[in-house]
Amino acid sequence: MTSHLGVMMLFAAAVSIVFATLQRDEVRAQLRLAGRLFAALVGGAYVAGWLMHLIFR
Amino acid sequence: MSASSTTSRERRDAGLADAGPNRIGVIVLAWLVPGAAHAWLGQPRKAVVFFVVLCGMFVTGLALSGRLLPFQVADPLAFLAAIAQWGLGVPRIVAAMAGAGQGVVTAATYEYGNTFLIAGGLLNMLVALNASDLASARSRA
Repeated sequence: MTSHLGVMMLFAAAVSIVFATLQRDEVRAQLRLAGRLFAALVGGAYVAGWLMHLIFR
Repeated sequence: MSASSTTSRERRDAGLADAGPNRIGVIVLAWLVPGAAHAWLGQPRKAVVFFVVLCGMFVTGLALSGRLLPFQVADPLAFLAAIAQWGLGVPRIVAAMAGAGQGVVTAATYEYGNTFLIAGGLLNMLVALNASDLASARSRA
């Protein structure tokens, strides 16, 4: 998995899991926060990528 | 001043050692082995998560041809990146002793690898701070 998207998703997953484990104590709350962080990181990268594509093409 | 710190001071004045774990020891342990301090503080599940994810990030960084940077004061960004990579104590030492992390600048994944190595170290610094807070709370309790 050496595509930019694949590596970026792997990175986002790792960061999300560590932050959620640090910030929450219950497993369900950790999973919920990790999912939200992962979605925000990947979604943010998509939005930033499209903005750069539209602005700098 | 909070009531808990007064209690801690009273304990010290009375010549009694705090029952909580040594805060410096906790930080050093957390720095050396990701998750070890949380295991020591009675949070084994969090310890396993930190160990698996942070060591996984470090190994992924090496597998993606990332470079273990030396301390170069002449290059401030590389110097800061080296400090961040040292956030993972034992994995960084073992990898350096094994000759891993030479880095392949021409590889397409070189910068990805460096990002994993740097972010893994920085995240372990956060984990160490969290463990320090836990130890401090135990001492005050």
